[in-house]
Amino acid sequence: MTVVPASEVKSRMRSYIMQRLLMKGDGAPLHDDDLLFSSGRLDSLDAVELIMSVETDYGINFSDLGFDLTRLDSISAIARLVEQSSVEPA
Amino acid sequence: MVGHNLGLRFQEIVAATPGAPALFCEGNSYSFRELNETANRFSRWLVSVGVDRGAVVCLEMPKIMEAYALALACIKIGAPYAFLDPAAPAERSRLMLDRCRASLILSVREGPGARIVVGDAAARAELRKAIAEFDGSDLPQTTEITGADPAYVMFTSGSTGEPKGVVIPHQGVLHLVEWAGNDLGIGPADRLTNVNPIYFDNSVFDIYAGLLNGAAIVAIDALRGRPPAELVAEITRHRCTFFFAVPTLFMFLDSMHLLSPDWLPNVTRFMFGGEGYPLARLRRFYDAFAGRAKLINCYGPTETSCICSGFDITAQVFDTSEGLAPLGRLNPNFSYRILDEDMKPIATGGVGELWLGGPGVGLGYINNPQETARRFRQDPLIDGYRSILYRSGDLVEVDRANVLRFRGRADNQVKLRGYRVELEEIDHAIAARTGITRALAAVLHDANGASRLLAAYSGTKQAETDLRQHCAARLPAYMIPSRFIWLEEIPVNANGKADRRSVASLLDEAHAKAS
Repeated sequence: MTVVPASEVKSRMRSYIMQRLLMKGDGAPLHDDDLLFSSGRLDSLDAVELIMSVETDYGINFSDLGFDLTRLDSISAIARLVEQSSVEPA
Repeated sequence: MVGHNLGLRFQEIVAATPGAPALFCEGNSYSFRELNETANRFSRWLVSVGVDRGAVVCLEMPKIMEAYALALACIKIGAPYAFLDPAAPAERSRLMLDRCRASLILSVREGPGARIVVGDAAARAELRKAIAEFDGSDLPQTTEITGADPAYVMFTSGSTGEPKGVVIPHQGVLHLVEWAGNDLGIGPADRLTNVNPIYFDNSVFDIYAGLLNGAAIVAIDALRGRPPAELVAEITRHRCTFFFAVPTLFMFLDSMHLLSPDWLPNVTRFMFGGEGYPLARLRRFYDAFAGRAKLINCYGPTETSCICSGFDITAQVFDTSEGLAPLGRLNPNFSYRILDEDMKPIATGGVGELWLGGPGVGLGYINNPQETARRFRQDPLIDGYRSILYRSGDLVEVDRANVLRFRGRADNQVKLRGYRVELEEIDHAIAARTGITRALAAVLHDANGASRLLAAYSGTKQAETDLRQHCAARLPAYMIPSRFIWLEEIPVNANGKADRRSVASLLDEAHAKAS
């Protein structure tokens, strides 16, 4: 698996998530450590989309994470996961 | 003696327990007496502004007390109501209003038609003042409404590119209420969540299975914009005992570590339906509440009064190689046939299309005789008298114990986050854009049972954000494809028809390549 730099993951995820937020009329700033799901900014519908996007884009299997969404709860958290999975592939 | 329509049945409950809480909403609580009196005032007010029996009243509003009282008010005068999504794109809302030929629209936003806007506190106060002049006692005309009269109109996606409004009679809901009382044990000691949006079929269960069994209902705003932990805390603060939602929501709460007896100590029954709950995920839910709460998988098309079967999840369910739990046995007063494409019965154990019969079958699609004729059909095995079945499009298999299992769809209907979606409606919406010659939506599934909506189109290549905006002006959020992929040409099958299966595999490839 090719290693994707954390900065690239972050910028890609940020633009993807901001697009979803904008569609619900949420134009507030989005920082890397802002909570996405716990805060309620993203909901159950977004969760399915985000999980599938992370799965297809970075080869991370949600079932390997024990279906734990709190591990995708911020842009930084997602970047960490991608980094870990490229170091130790599942 | 029990009432033969929903209004009378509600009044019986009011007479039995007038002071009991009926509705918790926006931080207030209303007893059965208060809710009934408000409904009665609304009934008389509706009549005074010209709403007749049989005329449709559209209620485009969120979960405010007036919404529930107005629905009951319509029920009492025999004017079917239609709850519409106040956040739906204006164009989609217009299509639904046109179909209803609404005699009155109560909405939180401006728009076409004979409309009263109740968008802010001042307008709501004015409406409350207007109805306060009317008498709050029960109306004599409620007794004239029969069980076969329409109670409500519920919109669902349509394959012709426009939503269809299903008309459901009082008797269909009365059977649902009875099943909820007898089989699910819902009674005055219960409190039901109303997390399901009121313009969504599942809320019919919340409202009527609750109120008409003497239980209270708790209006809870969907997740939009609020922390999920708050939603769960609200359910617990109200001591809800029955929680019905789509699997997507339960799976989300599970993923956020919020689906446990610690968070939801009072819930004794969880029910889910509207889409399949993948067994691998269901196992976690089941284990978390083992011995503490019952889990029920329910099934039912909107056209047959919300729910027509339920199945109690037991440990044995997980011992099979099936991906989903069974749909269960049909509820009392439902009949069925499992037929092949030539409308011939399928031998026991075979897979065929489910056709549903009985008094729970709807009255058709509002002002839409073509679609009604397509789906509400004479039982092909009976020609001596009228026997209308609803042709569900669901492919099922039944075992010797009469337990139904879902085996797919006979058409292009899919379930997305519990919402029923006809893929053709999305095709039509995309193709309405200038420069696009053909469009085809498809759903890709991952190994965990999650599904994702993608679309392919041909014609002029366009920016994805433009296409997304175009769709957002026509379709609700759950129907907007997450990616749009341009194809030189949309593949067709031997008959020259666009081939959705090949498009799906092309999308799968293109999607993998793009990432």
